[in-house]
Amino acid sequence: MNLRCAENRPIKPNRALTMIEITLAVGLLATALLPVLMLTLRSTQQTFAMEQHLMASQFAAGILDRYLSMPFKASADAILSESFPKKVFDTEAFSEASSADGAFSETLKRTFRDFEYEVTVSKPPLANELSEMFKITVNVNWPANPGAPPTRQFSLNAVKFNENP
Amino acid sequence: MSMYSSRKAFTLVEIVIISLISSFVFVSIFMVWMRTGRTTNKGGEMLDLQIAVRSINDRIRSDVRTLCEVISATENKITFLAYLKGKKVEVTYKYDPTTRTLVRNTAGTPGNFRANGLVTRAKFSCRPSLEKFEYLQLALELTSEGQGNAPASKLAQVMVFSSRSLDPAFVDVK
Repeated sequence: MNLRCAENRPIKPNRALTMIEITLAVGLLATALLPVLMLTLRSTQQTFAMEQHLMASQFAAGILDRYLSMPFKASADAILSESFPKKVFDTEAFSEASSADGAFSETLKRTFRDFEYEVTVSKPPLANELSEMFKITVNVNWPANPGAPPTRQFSLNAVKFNENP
Repeated sequence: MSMYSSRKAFTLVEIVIISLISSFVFVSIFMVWMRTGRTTNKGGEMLDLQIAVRSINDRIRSDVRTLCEVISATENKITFLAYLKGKKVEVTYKYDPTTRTLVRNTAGTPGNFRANGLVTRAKFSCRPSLEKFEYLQLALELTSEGQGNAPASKLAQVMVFSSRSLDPAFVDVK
């Protein structure tokens, strides 16, 4: 009886994987692996963005230091006499440093080529404090990608007090 | 009565097509993998340079902020007096191109930066002149050691340091 049953049972075909199935599997594997690799690439892009922030912060600190070290009146006059925004690369320090050595200039240009900065002066809220202090703000702007309009910004500000009010 | 099962194997054409597709996919993944490795190394080098440039910038800015008199200055070396912990101390910064190191000495006690071997260029200049010193300018270039055949990372910066403690320029009248 058992034998008869076995004979009557339909034979299940021993089916292999088809070409489409294997292709799909390979495609899925690639799709799963790529985001992991892209994550590492992205972190390096972030490191480069951090470098630009660092460079901007050091440049802004230099500019701010310069104005803060001047006498009260001379500092305000110096800021107001200049027209902003300015290209960082057009400043005296950068243009002179870059003209000296070709390789150094190239490295400098790569980072600062599209950097711009502006310095603004803000008056204190009370009229009687006008001759006592003002606020200096240094904004450095640069694009996320070379050639694009500036979208990233680093801002640094400080209050300049009158030494002899 | 014997029954033949429909056991269908891959045809040669199918194997060739799958091999082609698989090799294309795996070569692409391998290339991205290699590129990722290189980029990761580059990122690490860039971070090292950033830490070094930040360390140099912070140290010199802190010293020059209390600078009261410049003693001597050349392209590779500057010596000045600065107020450190309430005392006037002689501070010297010297760039050694052979060891690619920027060294800081204060009144006989040697010290150096962590940027050992990374500084490929450092040029000091007093502005507008040594006699009428207003601010210090430092053109700095750092280069990573590089790994294998990959090009080394570079970082260049022009730093400006101003003093808030400059002694007024008194003139002897008698």
